[in-house]
Amino acid sequence: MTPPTTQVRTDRAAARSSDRRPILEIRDLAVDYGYGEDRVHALRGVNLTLHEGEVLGLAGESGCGKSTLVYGATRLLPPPGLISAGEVLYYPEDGAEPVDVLRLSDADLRAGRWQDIAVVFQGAMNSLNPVYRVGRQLMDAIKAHRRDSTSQEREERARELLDMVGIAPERIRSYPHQLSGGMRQRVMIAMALALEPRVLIMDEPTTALDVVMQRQILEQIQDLRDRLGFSVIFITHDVSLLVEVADRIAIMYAGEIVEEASGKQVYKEPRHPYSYGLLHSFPRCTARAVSCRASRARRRTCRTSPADARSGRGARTRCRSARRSTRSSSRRRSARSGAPSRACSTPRGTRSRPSSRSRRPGVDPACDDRSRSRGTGRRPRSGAGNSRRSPRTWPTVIG
Amino acid sequence: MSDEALDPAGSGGRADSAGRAGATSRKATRPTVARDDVVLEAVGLTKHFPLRGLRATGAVHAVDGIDLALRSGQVIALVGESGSGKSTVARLLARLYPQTAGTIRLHGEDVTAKRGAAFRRYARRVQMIFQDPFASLNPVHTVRYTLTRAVKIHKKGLSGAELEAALHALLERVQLNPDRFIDKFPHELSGGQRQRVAIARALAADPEVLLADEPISMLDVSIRIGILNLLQDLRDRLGIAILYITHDIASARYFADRTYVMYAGKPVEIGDSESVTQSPAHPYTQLLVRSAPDPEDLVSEERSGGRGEPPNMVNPPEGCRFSPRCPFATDVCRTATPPLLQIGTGRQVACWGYASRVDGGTDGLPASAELPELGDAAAPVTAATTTSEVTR
Repeated sequence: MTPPTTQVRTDRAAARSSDRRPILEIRDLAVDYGYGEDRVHALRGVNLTLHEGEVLGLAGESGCGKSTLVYGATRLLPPPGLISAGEVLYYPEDGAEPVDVLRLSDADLRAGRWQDIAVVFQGAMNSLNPVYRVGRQLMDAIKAHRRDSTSQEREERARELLDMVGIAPERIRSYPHQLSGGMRQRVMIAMALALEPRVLIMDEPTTALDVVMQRQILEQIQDLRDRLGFSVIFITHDVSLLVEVADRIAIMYAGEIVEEASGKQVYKEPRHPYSYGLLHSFPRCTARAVSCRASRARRRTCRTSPADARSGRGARTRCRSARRSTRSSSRRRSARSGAPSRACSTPRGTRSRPSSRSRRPGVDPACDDRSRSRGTGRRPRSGAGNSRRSPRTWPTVIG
Repeated sequence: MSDEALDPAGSGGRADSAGRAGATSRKATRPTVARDDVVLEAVGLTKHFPLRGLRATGAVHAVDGIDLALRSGQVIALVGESGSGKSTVARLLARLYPQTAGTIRLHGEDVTAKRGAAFRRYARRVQMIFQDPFASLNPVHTVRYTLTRAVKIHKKGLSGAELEAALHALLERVQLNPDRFIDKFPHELSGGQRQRVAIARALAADPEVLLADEPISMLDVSIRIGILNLLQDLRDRLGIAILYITHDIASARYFADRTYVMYAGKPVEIGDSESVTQSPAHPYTQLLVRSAPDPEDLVSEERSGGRGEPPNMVNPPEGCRFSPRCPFATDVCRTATPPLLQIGTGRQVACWGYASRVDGGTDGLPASAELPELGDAAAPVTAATTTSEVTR
């Protein structure tokens, strides 16, 4: 049985990204944790392509494999993580043949790291060494890769980098504890940009920061991207943030990518039930948003552990629209790189519309309502009760 | 049944069984709480942390004069960026450290408890939930142990089947299946489940006030709403007063009845959550609302206008503390501290931009003072307001 393929309108952003040259291509990457019978399949054949100058957002909840994906692709995965299959192609700048990062020799890998692909690590606030001045830490990376540079040049460069991310160059002599959280975060970003990498991987770079600082840093990253032209893989669990910053968004769930499309598309018409749930799991600040989305935030949240998700679709245990057929069938996702794709056998909007849908178990009542009510701010009644009138009486969603 | 176990009215028997004069008299004097009664009140609460070190002088001005009234069955949100003193307020109210100035009143009585039995009596009524459920639960103890400790400390004399029933009731109250979770260790639980256990532990004391210090900021976006709904449910069913501390103004709008926006240790705007988020009056609140990620608003590509860093709290700026970052700031803002001006029913804002439109707003300012012009950014001032309320 073949799943109904969802043909989606490609809007400008998606079209643009498919025209671009790929820079990093992850093919069928599989990562296990542990060995033997008990191993957990943290990633199960993930395909993902990053194009030049693109911001690719990677979203999903904790434990879905977002970080594992990028650490696997950069060979930074600590044991017991084990890459069991796949290849990661990096396309060099001069247009030469792509190299497989997973099969590079240690020396080549070391030379390429930070130079080609740099990472801003999760919890960057705590990844600076507290006993060295930030300037020294900035210069370390430059020294390792540019052996022939003089210390004066390196210091010059470090000052320039700090200035670039909006920190006064005099701060080069500060210790990390003398900087605020946002400044430490920006030092980490400056450090990642020290060698002008072509790919910047940001693993939850703003999670620990408050919204004002988060906004400042995002704007700065966008400015720098426009100026320097690097590509970004941006990992976060906040999809609404991604909708704003990313050209393309890949939603991950239980070790696989369940939906991949342009940011606007994911927001306007999420096709995978999980993406929909993720998008609507939290209220926004705007007027309409609270009343309409909050009432629909009724996703079940028992997470599928990667260990459980060995057969069938990962999201199935939580999916409201799962059909029996999904249980035995394995993943189906059209993996044409660049094109929007979905891994759902019953994508949203393709289901039948029974008139009594809100009563029927197994059919997501929100899916059809949503397309109709969009733009009017009006929400037809659904099974969730009339919470439209009072946003404070949402049903208790999550048990 | 589970309701009964923690119902304030039905708890008299437990205190008697404790057989301690102090506990019994506390029960006797504990008033029945009606909705919207002020339970916990802070007046002019101030906390300065002295700098340590050989040659250090001065102090960090963490909180400077905040007035706060927590009412039963009401949620008050304290919103602000990191370092604005939100958590310090919660910790002061929990009596984790003494205040520099100001008073805390529980049902109108000054709270002076610092340690020992008096502090425990106070803690029984005012409980705190911490930000990080990964750190606030002891990793070497099971859920059963964690909760048993809390129950035994706050309700003396429970044992055997009674104790077991109390534990089950607590877990059910936070929507965890008792049989499944009671013997788990924290590492076997997800972040959301851990936070629920932490909430259950706070509820073990049968408190009147819950101080929730960023209870959801360490959790996944997808499970945050569950915790907020749980707290909301507790508020509605048990009539607990909740102080909800967050830096996410959108969640304050969803969850809280009233919102206090804090900046650099001072409240800059106070009002019901809906109007604070929908028509923010203070430039800082406006910046906060603009900064919240909002995919609905993709069309406006304009920048948030956020710049600068929070001020140094050892030497906070003269005048309005937001003035170094404020796009509207004038010389008045940099020299004179704006009072909280009443701009609507229950709405106050500490910004000179509203002074000319509020009666008595310009009192104490020289006539030549140039007030900031908020222009289109200004929130409407309703006609009903005639008084200005000046705080310390």
